[in-house]
Amino acid sequence: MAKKRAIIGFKGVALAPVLQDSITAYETGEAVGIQYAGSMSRTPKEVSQELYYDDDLYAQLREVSGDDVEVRFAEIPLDQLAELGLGRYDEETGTLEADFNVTGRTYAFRCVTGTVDGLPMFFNWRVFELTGLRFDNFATRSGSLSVCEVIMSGVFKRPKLAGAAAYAIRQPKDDGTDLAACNAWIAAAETLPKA
Amino acid sequence: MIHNEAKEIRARLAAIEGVQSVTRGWPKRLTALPVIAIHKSADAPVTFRDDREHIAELEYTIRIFTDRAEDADAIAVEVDAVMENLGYVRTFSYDDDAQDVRMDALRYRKYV
Repeated sequence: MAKKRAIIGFKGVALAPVLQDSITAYETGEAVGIQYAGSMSRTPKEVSQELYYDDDLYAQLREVSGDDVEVRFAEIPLDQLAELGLGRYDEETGTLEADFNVTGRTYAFRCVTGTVDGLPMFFNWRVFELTGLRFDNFATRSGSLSVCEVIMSGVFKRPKLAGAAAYAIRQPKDDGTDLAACNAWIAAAETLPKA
Repeated sequence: MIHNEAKEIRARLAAIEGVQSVTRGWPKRLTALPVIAIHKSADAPVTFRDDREHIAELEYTIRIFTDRAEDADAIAVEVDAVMENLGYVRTFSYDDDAQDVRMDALRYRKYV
């Protein structure tokens, strides 16, 4: 009986800096993990147009150019927030001098999801333009627990290289014998076109 | 991950003036009062990150046994200060009279 691959989890977020994204090549560095992933929500960036002729719908055009993305973490260390472009971190004083904006940072976004049968699935969105990092609203302590999460926002886009897919999903074999290869794949640098 | 702060709580409560003994669980034998008994009441994850336990809810119930209600009231104030100092918030409190002893029960929660 085939394994049940319904996704029931979200973990193992890692970002690989995009070193080149051009019409001739796509290249990333190795991925760096970010702990305590909570959730990821995506909203398609789409344009649709309805064309009418003879008083009837002739065609409906729909073009999805990417996804608006919001990822929530329980926490991200200050030095890592600085590396992601939120500001400058002074290790000596433990102070992050931060800004409201994060600009010019593009990564490959990798993550792992659990499935009903326990075998993970591995996702690699090749172009994640990071546009925001901020702390969610604060609330005083009360009877119920409320975590002020760190919210990462951005856009999933297509690589400029013709033929390079926007994202790749890898699943291990049913017997799990290639799990190590999958784990290596999610962390590795990637170059397209492949040599 | 199992959390356990009973040892630290027990040590702090034992330092309260006048308390004769602090037990983990119900006192096993009749002993001089006042006595404080500690029970873990809850230890369970409330948030998950990376598909694993991230923050857990830890609760302890503290029972104070005394001869007189006034003694229990005074010790309860001290217990409350100790638990607050350890990061706990009081979630429940009641008192009860058994045949020969007065009992105050206090419950505390902390997120770890």
